[in-house]
Amino acid sequence: MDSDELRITGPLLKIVHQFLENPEEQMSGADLAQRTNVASGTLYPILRRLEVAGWLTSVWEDVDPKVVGRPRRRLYKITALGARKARIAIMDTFAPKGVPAWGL
Amino acid sequence: MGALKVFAVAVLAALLVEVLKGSCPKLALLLIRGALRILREDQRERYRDEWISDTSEIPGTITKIWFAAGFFQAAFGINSALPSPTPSQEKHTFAERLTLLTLRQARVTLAVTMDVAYKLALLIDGLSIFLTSCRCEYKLWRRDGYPVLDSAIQGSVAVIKNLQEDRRRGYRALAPLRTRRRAQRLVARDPLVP
Repeated sequence: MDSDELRITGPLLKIVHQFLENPEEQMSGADLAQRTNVASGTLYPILRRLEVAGWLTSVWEDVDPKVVGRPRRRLYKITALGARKARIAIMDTFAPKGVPAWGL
Repeated sequence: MGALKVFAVAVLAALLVEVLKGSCPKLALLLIRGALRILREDQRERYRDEWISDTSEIPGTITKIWFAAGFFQAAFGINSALPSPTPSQEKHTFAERLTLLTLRQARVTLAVTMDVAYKLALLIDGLSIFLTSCRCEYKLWRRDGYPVLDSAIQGSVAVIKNLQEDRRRGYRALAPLRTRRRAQRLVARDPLVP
């Protein structure tokens, strides 16, 4: 999937906005769900679409599951391409449309 | 009397919450496992770990279960977000779809009219059928006679019954039929086949 083909939706914008606020931060799906209030059923497909489009990268948390007592978390981070495209998408979405009509 | 009712409801609600709290991890795990079955096989390992760890981070009992329940929808979304599978994966996706269908049916008959090599695996509440060769017509009917799946793939002669009410008996009935005539006879005799 090319990044240009990515369908821009409200939840997607919420998620990328969260990444743009802290571009260096790595976040898990649970972090994002709590911060954006996007339901898990919507969140993970969006994360996957963003990953496929190259906007995000993900890595496994560098911990020993036996030590922490749970499976490793998958941590997502925005890429430079993703940050650029996300800014454009947000601007396109929220920019005022058309030419201001000046009254008489 | 009114106060007694309120008290009884409060006690029952507290009990329900305790029961939910006790069974929450198991229930969440069950939901995750169910959702993983929908996912493409090559994605399952990744999402199993990811979803289990993410669910454990979500605070609150009901919220945790609600979060885990969303993975069913997520699994469908992830499957469609992934690039088109390779031919071998496509075969498996078919089996997965079939599993889903059979899980939803009380009783399913699969009639195949040419030679097929397949292996079968019983899942929690249904039957998964992995067709491993090609060129065969298959039809899947629901109990009410409504065809839920009708396509052409490659396979072998087989009439398969999934008797969900009696899994062992159902499993024994899964013997492949070697001849077309026998398959046709069984199909003709089966009241479920329209």
